[in-house]
Amino acid sequence: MVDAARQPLIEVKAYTEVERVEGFVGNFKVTLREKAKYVRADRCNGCAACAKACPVEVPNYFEMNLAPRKAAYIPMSQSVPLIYNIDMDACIHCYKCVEACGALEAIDFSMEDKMVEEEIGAIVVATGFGHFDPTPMTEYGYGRFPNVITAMEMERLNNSAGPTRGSLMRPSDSKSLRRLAIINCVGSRDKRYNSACSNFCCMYAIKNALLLKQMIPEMDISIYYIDIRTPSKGYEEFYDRAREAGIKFIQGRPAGITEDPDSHQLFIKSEDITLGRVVEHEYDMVMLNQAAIPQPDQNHMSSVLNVAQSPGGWYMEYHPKLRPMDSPTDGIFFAGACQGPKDIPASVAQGSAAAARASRILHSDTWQIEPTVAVVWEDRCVSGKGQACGICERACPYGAIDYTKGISAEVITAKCHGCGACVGECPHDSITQLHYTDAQVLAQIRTLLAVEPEKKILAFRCQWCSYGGADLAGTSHFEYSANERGLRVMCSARMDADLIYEAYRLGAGAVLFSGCHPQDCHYITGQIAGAKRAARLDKMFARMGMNPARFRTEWISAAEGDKYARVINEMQAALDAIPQDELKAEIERLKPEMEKKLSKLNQIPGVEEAMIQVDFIVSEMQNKAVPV
Amino acid sequence: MSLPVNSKLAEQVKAIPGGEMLMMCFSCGTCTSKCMIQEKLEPAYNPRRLIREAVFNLEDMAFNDRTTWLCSACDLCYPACPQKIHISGVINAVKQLAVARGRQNPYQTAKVDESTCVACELCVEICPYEAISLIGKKVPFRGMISMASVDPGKCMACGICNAACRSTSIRLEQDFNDNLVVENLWGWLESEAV
Amino acid sequence: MSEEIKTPNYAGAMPGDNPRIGVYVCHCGSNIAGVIPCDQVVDFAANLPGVVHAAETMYACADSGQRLIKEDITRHGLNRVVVSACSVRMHEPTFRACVAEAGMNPFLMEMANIREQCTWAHGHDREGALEKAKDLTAAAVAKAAFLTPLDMIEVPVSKKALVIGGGVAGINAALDLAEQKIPVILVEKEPTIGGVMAQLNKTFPTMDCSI
Repeated sequence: MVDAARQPLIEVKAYTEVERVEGFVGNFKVTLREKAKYVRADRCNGCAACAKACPVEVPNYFEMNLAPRKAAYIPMSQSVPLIYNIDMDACIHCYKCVEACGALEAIDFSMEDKMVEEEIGAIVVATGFGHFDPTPMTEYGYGRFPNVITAMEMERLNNSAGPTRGSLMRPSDSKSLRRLAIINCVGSRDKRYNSACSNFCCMYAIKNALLLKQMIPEMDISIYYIDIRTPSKGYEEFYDRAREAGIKFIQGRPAGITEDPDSHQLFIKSEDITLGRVVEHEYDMVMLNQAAIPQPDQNHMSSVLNVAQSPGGWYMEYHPKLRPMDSPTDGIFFAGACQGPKDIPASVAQGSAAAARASRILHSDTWQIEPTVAVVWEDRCVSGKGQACGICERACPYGAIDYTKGISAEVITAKCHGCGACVGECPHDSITQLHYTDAQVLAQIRTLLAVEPEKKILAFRCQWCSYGGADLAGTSHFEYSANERGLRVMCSARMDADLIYEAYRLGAGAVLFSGCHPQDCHYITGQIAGAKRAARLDKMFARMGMNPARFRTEWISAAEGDKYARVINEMQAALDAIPQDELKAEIERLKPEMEKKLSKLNQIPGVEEAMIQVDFIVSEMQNKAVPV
Repeated sequence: MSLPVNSKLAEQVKAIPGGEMLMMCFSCGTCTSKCMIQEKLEPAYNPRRLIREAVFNLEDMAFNDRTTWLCSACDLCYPACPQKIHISGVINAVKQLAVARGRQNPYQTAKVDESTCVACELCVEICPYEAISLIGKKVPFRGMISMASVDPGKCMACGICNAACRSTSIRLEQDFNDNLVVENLWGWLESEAV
Repeated sequence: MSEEIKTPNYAGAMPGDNPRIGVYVCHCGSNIAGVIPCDQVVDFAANLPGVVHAAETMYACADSGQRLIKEDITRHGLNRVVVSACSVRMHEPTFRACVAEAGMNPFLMEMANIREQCTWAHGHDREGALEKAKDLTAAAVAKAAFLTPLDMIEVPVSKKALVIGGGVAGINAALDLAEQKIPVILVEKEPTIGGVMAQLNKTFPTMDCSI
């Protein structure tokens, strides 16, 4: 803490919130709200005269509200920066602090929140975690039974800088205690609250037990647990030490706590699973090892930063294994528990790792971005012609498209991640994606279906997941039908309906529409757009009377090689089950319908000219295949 | 309902409505410590262990386990379970499978007196476990008549039918029969009077 | 800031030049050649419109394979390269760099995956695998003909970092950046930095003080 304050290149802005983040990698424009402290930082010397003079007392959040602070305060004596604050919600405007401050004149009641704009190259998000409030778990009586406390309250109660100066006592009668229970997994590993494991609480329970055992050797301490998890270096040894020290580990999650209302003694009944018996014990105090949960304002911050959240509410990383520090937005990195519960060593390590990731950018004069981005054909965009549209802006998971009615949509190139969702969604074919243009993808489709298309299964796959799944099927030698013809785009969101129509127009036997599972999408919500489109197509094809075996949607991760092979084999079997003449008749019947849907295809820039060329390739292939 | 009999116990339990979440159990023991039957009646009663027996396909063990037959589906454990497993649903699934395999409920169930039942359906309507239905049965000298019938796989011996029946044709015969209940009541009243 | 960033140079789907495509069919030892006769794929590809040169190579990714491609680019005046070999997840960066070294725009290289997604998956259907390898190669050739040169987009960088959150992770990140001479703004919503760490007594597993 003090190091950070001493380091001249670090500007510590405490009591400040991030209001707005705009821009893109290397070029963020960040608006910060410096909240009014009513004490001038340049004058306050941290002498505490104002706090001494202040007559108002309110609970101190830093002490888990177990101790009071003044309205003129610092949260703790070692605060960094050492500048007092006046809590205007509590202040009664008696101005005694002004008097006490005297000639220093540091207190300034006219201060207001100040907005500051900063130009930033890279952002490290290290917003940490919040603590689960066990009050809703009425079975544990937190809030009703005075001697049931949370882990963070225990932290302050046994801390020499805490409200009791480190002498642990029961809240009900301020007496010392002899029997303590610690209950693990309070609100974590619990589908009613947070289904995930909070990662560090097992170790944390052991630490508190050992610490208290050192303070009061005769104390009887039990830890109730479901599983004890000690995965990192030195942790299992730490667990050994705790058992050696006589701490009792009881495997069994207590269903509830009861209290004697007169003595405030507590009783815990649980199954001791290793004994296979229900046991009941009496305790003087119970510590609930509460779950680590996302910060209460994490939803808000996630929209300020435009980074997605995983199902549990934590920030979602670019890739859980290969890029755990990166957010899906270039130039924004995660450190510590905001990305998922982490203990101190892991948080420190990720802090350094995120700094290293960020410094790659910050040490460069310029930063390179893949050019496979979306571009708008300004002459085709209907918005430029005065029509209301904005579909592309809504389709973009990154807010990389600016839409204003009357002006053709504009792609903010540096924000674009190249998923192609806008291309897939644009109803007027006014956007294309470089390196995956309609002409380029259509050229592939036509060649793949040049010969005997009715026998082929054309598989559209996303680059990150289902293409990887197909790779894994090969690597694992899961064999599948060789009639499959794979085609790669970056995301299922890019799989434009036109491309599917074209496949059927050419007479494809079957089409597979595949991408990642919704939670794995590389492009935040790309898969969701893809899935919606696939469902729409499915319905439409059913209405047209297409055999359902000819269109299939599957979400296949890069780890599901077996699934890829199985899906293709199932599709092949279903295709084989359709009699040839029936299939051919259906293809012929649907061809005009597909042609109708594709009537504007040739108007897409480049497509008509390209297709003339592709037809040379196609006829060459057909000539080769059918010897005259 | 047809039960899948050719697969392993865990698969069968999962296939029965109420048993779907079986495999989610991580054996924390909350259900056991919450259970009233365990506390008041049967110290060896253990829903967590029964779930484990089902997970590991220990069919004989599960069918012989008293837990299978004693659960009253009071569902105290259900809201306490951190994995949201409907434990009484799982136990009920095991019980149905046991009955389907010809196991007898070792505990008492309600019995119908075939000679007096008039098939009024009061018990059918009131049974909280849907254990009673009307069946047609041939009775000597009376021919084919309809009457109440208790499914021993579903009956929990709560006695509500016994109380509801106007002709005392459906009864619990051992513990908690009419005479015992009346005797108990008198006992309590007398002690109150003293 | 966005107006400073140039949208990549792009003149529509058709390149202004005539494609001169080189096709390289990799044996990958026996991984590919053990299932399909690569020479037949080469013969097939050589006749496709736009292809001016097609060759087999034992290992396209090896130094010798890459040298061959680079030399051919000059010798045959190639302006597109198709590599029929393994997965793009494996070697797309390799071959992009390879053609770039020969002076070609890296985005004018296209791969056909005839290993993971063909010979490895269809070991028992050699005829089917051969037809598929031809089709995949043809599709890559067709796409290659319409590839346009693309430049990586360069954006300037503001040399200042923002760290949001003054807990143990944020402080550490800020210190690491500052020690690399990068100015850092460390923002904390509470009046003091330190986060949860500052509230703790001792910390595991070494039981030292938290502050």
